[in-house]
Amino acid sequence: MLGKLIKHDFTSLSRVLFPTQLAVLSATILATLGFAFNIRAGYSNLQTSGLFNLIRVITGFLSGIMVVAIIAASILVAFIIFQHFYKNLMCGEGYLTFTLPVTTSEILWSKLITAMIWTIISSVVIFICVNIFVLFGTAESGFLNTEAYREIGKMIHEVNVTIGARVAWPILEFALLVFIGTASSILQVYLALIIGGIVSQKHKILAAIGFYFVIQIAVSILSTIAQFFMGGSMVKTMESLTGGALDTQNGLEAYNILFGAVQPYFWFYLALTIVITAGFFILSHYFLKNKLNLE
Amino acid sequence: MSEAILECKGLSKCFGPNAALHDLSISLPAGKIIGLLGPNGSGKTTLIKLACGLLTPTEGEIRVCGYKPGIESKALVSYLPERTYLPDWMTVLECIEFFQDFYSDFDIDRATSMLQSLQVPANARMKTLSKGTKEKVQLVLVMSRHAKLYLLDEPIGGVDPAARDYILGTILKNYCEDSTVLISTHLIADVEKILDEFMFIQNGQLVSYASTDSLREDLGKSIDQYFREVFRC
Repeated sequence: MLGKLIKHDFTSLSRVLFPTQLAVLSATILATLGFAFNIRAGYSNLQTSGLFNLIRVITGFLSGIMVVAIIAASILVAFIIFQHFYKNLMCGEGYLTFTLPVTTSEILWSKLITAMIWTIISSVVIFICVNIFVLFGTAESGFLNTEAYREIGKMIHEVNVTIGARVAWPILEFALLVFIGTASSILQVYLALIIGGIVSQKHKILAAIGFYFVIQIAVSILSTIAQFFMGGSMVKTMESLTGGALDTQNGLEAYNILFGAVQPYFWFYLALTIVITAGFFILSHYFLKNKLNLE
Repeated sequence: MSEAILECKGLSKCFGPNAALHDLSISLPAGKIIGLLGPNGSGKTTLIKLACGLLTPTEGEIRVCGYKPGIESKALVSYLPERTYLPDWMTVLECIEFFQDFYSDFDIDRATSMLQSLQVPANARMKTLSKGTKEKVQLVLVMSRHAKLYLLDEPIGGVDPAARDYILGTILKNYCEDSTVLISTHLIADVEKILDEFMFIQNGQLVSYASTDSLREDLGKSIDQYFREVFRC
């Protein structure tokens, strides 16, 4: 049943979210063309006429559209995901959702998984857009600008020579933290929407916003307490390293010291985020299962 | 004794200080079409929502075929709410597929033929349909399941008299002997002819629960007449 729920939620979300991604891609293509023209115009020896200058201003302006489109689309994706959750569970459609022969946790999992999939899709689209822009829009001569990629390639090569494949670890750890952190952010809004919808009869959204901040404060207090018990801070540990142990010419040695020093903090934050995320899920489940009162 | 399809024991539901249902105990048998009747605000919708698990009881318990509201009971209950609940961007056909996806007891042939008889366009989006047509679609979907318990909250309120007759005929034709239909409505005269039993509730409490035949034989009254007597303002 989870698969069916995911399928339905995904179709329902994609219907609205797919066009936003198309808009971002279109804006990118427009900005890339505009910027490519702009750069070439800047290097050309053409007579500068009023019309020519105007075109330069407009094409320069086009590149700004891409940034605006990416920001607007990111906000819109988040908004649509949460609106879908709210409509599907706390409004009229809730009558359908909650009378389906599925468990409450399946409903929550489906909403979380589809939101995560769409967050990843929109991030990948932004990544692709930036690359299109850099590759096709910033070439001063020729068609493609591969300079940036050559530089990145060089960097990777250098890192590989000095540190080797173990550099994958911090990257994987960071990715894991971002992944869990994203799930946590999504569930925090879900929980606020659920509590707001249950507690208030009239101003559900307003109540949800209020509860969002209440949850945020509770999480901050919890984190502070946890940090107190953890003892020390990452900044202090870093400071103690500079000028001392880290003052070495050997790249590998420096990496090992730095990586080793960060590890306890990484695992601590990861564990804390997992606990908080699980807390959000369990509370959401509890309220939907035991306190649901669809008017 | 056969197991009750719907059973309430000391069921209460409060909204703030107001009790919508108060200490209601009743057991409904299988194979009956039962009218859930009462004046406005008597707790009819609350009772139905409790049976669906859309509300949680303040006190007491409610069971469907022995199950508390949950995944097992939801597979057995076919519920028609008094409001529109299908996503408005879906087409009628997509709604049918949705039901077929989630309910193993859904009869797609029955649904398609009923929608054809009611002349509902299958490719129209829900938001383009009139209120009455939306209600027809919902009722068709709900009655196309082979459920144990049908909970119909005001099923005929928004449709014209001709469609009303068709719908009531459909309910009669489609429910099978081991399932029960609970219909909440104000339009007693319209549904009276198909009811086997009726229950009156007022202020969240049971006033009377009897069979239509015994009312006719013992008191020589129709439910409509009896309702007007009991709930005279």
